[in-house]
Amino acid sequence: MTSTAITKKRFNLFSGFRPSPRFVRGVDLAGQWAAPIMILVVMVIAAIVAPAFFNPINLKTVAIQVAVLGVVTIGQTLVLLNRSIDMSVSAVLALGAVIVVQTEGGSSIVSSLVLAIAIAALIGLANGLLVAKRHVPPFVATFGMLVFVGGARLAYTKGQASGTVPDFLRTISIKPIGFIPAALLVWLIVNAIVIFTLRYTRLGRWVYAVGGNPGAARYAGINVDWVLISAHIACSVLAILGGLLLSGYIGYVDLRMGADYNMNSIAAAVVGGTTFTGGRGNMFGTAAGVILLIMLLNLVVVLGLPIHWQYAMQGAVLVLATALQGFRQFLLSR
Amino acid sequence: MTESTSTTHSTDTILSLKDIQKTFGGIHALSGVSFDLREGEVHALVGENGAGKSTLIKTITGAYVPDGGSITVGGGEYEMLTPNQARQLGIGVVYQEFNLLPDMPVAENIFLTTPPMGRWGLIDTKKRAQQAYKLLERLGAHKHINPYALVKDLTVGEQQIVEIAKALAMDAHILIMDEPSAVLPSRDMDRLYKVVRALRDEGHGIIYISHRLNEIFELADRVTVLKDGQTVATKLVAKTDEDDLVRMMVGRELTDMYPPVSTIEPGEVLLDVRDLCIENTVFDINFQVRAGEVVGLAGLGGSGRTTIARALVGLADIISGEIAYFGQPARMTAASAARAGVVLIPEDRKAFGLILDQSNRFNITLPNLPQLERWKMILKRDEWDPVIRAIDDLGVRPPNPELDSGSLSGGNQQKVVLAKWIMARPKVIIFDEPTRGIDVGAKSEIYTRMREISQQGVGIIMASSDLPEVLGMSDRILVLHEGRMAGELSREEASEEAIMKLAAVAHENGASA
Amino acid sequence: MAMTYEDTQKSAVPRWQRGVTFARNNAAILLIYLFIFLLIGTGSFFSDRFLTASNLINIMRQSIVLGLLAIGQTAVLLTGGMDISQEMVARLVGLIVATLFAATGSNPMMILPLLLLGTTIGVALGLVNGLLITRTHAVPFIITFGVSFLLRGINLAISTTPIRGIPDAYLTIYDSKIGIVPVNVIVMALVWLIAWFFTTRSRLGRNIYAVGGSERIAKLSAIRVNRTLVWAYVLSSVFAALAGLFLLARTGVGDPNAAQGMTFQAIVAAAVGGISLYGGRGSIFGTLGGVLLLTLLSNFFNLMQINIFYQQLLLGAIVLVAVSAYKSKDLGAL
Repeated sequence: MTSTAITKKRFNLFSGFRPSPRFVRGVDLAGQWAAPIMILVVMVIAAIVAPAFFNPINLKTVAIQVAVLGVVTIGQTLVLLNRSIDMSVSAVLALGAVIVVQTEGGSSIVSSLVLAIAIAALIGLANGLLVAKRHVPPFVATFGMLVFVGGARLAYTKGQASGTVPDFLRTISIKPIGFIPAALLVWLIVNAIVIFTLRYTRLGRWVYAVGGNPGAARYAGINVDWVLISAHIACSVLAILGGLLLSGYIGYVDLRMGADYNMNSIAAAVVGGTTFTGGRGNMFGTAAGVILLIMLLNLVVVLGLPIHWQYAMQGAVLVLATALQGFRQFLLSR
Repeated sequence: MTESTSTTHSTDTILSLKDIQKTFGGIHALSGVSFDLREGEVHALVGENGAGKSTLIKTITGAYVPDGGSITVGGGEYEMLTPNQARQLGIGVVYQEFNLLPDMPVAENIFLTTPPMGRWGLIDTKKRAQQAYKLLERLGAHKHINPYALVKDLTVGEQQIVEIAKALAMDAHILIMDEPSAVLPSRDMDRLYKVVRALRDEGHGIIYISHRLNEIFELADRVTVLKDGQTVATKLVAKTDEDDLVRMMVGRELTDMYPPVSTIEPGEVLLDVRDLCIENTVFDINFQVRAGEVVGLAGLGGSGRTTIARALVGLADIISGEIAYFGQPARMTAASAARAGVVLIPEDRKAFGLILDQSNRFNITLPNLPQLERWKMILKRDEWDPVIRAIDDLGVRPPNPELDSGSLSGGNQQKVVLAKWIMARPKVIIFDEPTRGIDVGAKSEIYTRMREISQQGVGIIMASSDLPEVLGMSDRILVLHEGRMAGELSREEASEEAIMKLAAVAHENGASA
Repeated sequence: MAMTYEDTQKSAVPRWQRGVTFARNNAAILLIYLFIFLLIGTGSFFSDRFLTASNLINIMRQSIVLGLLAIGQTAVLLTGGMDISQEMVARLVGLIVATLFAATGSNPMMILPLLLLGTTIGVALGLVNGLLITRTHAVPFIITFGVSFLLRGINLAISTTPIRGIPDAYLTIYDSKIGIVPVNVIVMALVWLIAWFFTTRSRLGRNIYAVGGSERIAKLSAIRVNRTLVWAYVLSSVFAALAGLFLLARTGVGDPNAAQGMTFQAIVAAAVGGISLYGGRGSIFGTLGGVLLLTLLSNFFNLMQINIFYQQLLLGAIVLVAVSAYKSKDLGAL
């Protein structure tokens, strides 16, 4: 007597999609562990197709690149944890290098470093204020900042960078300390500080609270805007630090310097398990994401492929990682 | 009004539900509800909060899949409906929260699904406006509502009529109206009644959900009472009265649920609100809260309960007036309120109460980090003991501090929210709908805790739409009507009828805006 | 019916009040056209070459590429998303078509098939973006950002140097004129008109507004949300492809640096024209205003011989000022 309603079958991957708990758990684990697993896979592949990858000189290059991107990505992760994003890191990074290199002749290295960090903090503050107080979509606010800071750098240098990279930067970047280059040590120290802060201090809890649920954080008496602004300031300052390490490593400053760091820092953070909806992700994941991305990019070079495959590689990694994390977040929040 | 309710209409049944069952995580939301709707009648659906009204509605509209029972509509019998099927079978809903796009014109909102098409595959905007006009004319609102006006420029009452027109545009002949009067200022009520009667006389079947008993007698032909997920009775409105309905709706042993009344005298004034005004919603509110008392804040939906609750902890924009904590004028920000020990336990736990991705430990310690710090550091071992104690104390189940709060049931989530604020040793706690969506067992535990806390000298404000709860817990009750204080009732004076009278029909108290 | 709805409305609402309502709901558009007039005034004050027929026609022709991109971008922005891959799509289409022209010996017979091919590539890439976004529930701008990098790699793989061999007949797309008015300016005016009808009168156009206004309400109104979203990304990519085909005619070579920075300009044009970056609000007429304003500005800078570096700085500053005037979601752009 009773006729069950017949729902029309149409081809739709997720219509009436009821995932099993095991499937959800699997996707969640994949999202968290994608980067470490892929690092092992890539290492095995590298050992087979490109043994030159493990050449000590190449490994040193990889280490320095990991350090530079790692420092920048720590900042990016902090911002992403707060449901924001920073598209201006590449411009800030390049600006910092330019400031230090161009002011080097006239003044001491300390004053030019202080100047660079102060400018970075100001840029971060501006980003944070736009996002937190004016409710500008973070992407737009920081992209506007990217254009502005990029323009400021061009206007300041008149389109050509001159000057030499101070020895101090060369030292903190490439001077070997034991087996490892100094930059890697800088990265490890920054990592230690940030991980400690996230784990053991109020501010760290607040970051996860604000990213996880800004409404609940506000009700809990947390100054949500202030946390978000702090994250943006930290991100810009870390971008400057990345820029200093980078200029110390390459030994000069040019107009295209650092242009890919927006892309790479976001891709590395997302591969490492940080989601765009905030509150999910950690620095170990980010470190793994950075190492994975740099290894992939380096493999392009070691294998002697045309350099533009690096772009395709970055794009593919970002698309896949975003799709995975987006799907994971979708499953977890059902 | 008697003539309109006694008009004889055709008695063809157009919708019939038999023995509908629905459980959520082991809790029976509906256990065997039967209900039928005839052509040309207004059938009122009443019941307390949590009686299963909205679950029933969602079953009819296809939002929920029932676990058992059958739905007969449009000549077919169904185990379940999909939203599309429901729409095609002529079931339309006027929701309480409106489903209109504020930046679009009235006519476009009405014909969003099926706009009249003209040449070249373009929408015929003129025809659309004309058809919208005709629909509005049918509803008697053509003189007030311009088809070209943007929805955001309309009043709430006008938006509701547009919402009804939208349902009609989708050829609905079964109209479900979910507490339509709850959001309306009293001056718009008559217009709504007119519209509903006009629709009934056209032969539509209307399911009318309401908390206001007086409007049921004014408007409905039959009334069905739900209680605890079951149908109590379906009666002709002409053959029942208010006392009868109230008896069927409530009739629960209050004594089991609620802890004994306060044994201490109210102490010093903790919270003093003077002439509080909040833009467009709350006007000239004055009250005090003393140590050790539970103050109920009652009123219909849209009466300003939640807004006042938020304002007390600095989460609403206060236009004028003063709020003093412990005799000192307060700096109204959420952070300073929390520091001062005035906390709000919000209605919407998922949006404002908890960080669902994080553990119970994280959530419970979140506002209490300063008291747990050692050398500015938070160590897990320092968190552990207080968190375990708080969880045991409130009976959070499962009692696992490391479990994500999102995986708990509603009642246990509310206990976690309570735990985090109790740990902060607040002086005033404001509860907004403390037990919404919570099963009976957890409810009574929360009530017990609430009374215990107040006996320790904490001032408690409880804003709630659940009248038995307000009556069972409050030492005195403030009743709001359209953002104004309609009256205050002592525990002895208070009854559901007395509250309703103030909340729903407070015209004589100078509350007409 | 004794009274028509027009009659009642005329009597119900006084004219001045309707005017106020209109002004309030269209403040961004009124403001931008005011700026345009001010800019034209200033321009003609500073340079007598500014307000000449030939310069104005020139401005209109200069605005075509940005206009095409901005129309497509508007469709996506109205859904509440964003398409970062536009300039790479334009570039890819230009490069592929140029390569095929060169491979077929600049045969004019190939023009029509290749125009079709270019458009088809646009459709395909739009589908890729749209499906990735709707199926994985990932953040639109990140997905399209990743896709843009992927395409960048592919573009560079096709060529790193300009590709010659475009048949002369193809260049008439840019050159042919009726009197002094270029045909493409007339065509573009028609495109704007069609876009106007599309956004105000077509079902898809209105569904895009509904989805951007609220996915929940759109779903409840039986609008197919995912399908609408995919269509928006397809439109964006197709318009990007058209921009690429037009650029090919303008430069006469397949340029691996074509459309540099144009995506951002398209977003800015739409945003300053009042298209809400949260979706669901704004008018294509505003986008037109934004496009004209940006084109006028750049023309003005060139006439004033302002250094290109300062131009970028100024663009960034304008963006930052515009976005900080942005209010929260309830109040919309500007």
